[in-house]
Amino acid sequence: MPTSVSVRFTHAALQWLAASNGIDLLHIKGPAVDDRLLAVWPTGDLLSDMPRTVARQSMDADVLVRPDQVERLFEVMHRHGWTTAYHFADGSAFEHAATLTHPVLSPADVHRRFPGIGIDPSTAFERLWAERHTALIAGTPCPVPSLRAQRLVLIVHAARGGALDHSDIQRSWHFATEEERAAVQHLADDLGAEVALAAGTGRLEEYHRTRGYELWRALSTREQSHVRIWVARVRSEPTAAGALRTAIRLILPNPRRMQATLGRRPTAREVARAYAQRARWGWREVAELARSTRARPRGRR
Amino acid sequence: MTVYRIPKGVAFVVPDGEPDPPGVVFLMQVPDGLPQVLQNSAAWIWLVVAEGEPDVADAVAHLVGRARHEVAADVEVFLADLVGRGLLEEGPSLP
Repeated sequence: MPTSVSVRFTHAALQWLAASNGIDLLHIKGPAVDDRLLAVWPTGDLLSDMPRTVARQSMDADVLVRPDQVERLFEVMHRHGWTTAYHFADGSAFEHAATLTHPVLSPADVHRRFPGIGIDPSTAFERLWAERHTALIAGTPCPVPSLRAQRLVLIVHAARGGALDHSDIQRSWHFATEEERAAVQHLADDLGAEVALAAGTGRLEEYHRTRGYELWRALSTREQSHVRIWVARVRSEPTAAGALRTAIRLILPNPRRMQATLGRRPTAREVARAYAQRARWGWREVAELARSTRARPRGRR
Repeated sequence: MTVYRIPKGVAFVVPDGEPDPPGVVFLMQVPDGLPQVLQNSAAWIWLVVAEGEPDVADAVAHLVGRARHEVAADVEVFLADLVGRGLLEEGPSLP
């Protein structure tokens, strides 16, 4: 079965599980993207009837779940053969998505929030949910974000990966009308995503000294320095507790990730060695952070 | 005349790049079924139903360039098979 087919079945299966259990899901990225935001094949034939859109290639199905229903969704998925491969804390520094796998279907990336959206995740979900519409994926009606929300998601996702020349940004922003851009900006303002949007659309300097500026500058420019990225992530946390947790988490080794890399459960000795290596690296990072913090005052917001 | 329809919970995908009419359709009873594949005339029969054609045999005959009476019996057998596999269901009959 082609991956593109399997990914669509994953969306359909998740929607069936969600709808049957009163769980709200928004299907994002991949086959959930609106046709108006897809690339178009150049037919080279002026007489041909309609241009053909190019389907997006995905390896997994991305969904955004109402945050207070995350555990319920996991419980339901586990009852239907899904296994949690990576918990939220095992993934990116944003801890935004968990990956679940299935013996037949493509993996599912279950998002509890979307990186770049700064307001409370439940409030953000409700905002996106309020203007959702339905798209057919594998013949199954699936709730998807509004067109302007999809533009925002694609732009911010590309910016996070440092792909500022990504065609998603071209189609979602540069080829959009003034009205369409204004609609995206308005939504970004509501969601606290204005810094991330600015990073993806070449306007980041407008947000200099705003919290999140350093992080999005580091991400969108593919910053290579671990120290700078680490500092930016810590500084982008809105609370001191969050900053401390992020600082520690980015240093500690992750046994689940080690298992994936090794292809087996790491031994106690391997885990201990990883802790020692990370601790040595961490001390150097902490020293660098301290120097950096003294040199550059924390941004306001 | 018996009318067929897609049961709730049956997902279907025509792979990207398939010609018109498609030669392949994948079906799956979500969330726990196993994916199945229909090819060529089997795919056409299922897709004709998916498009809401009331007279499936007539539409399939048109697709394959044959007379309706030449294909009707085989189409009916296959439709009954799909119903038995849970991939189609019978709707209210048309007068």
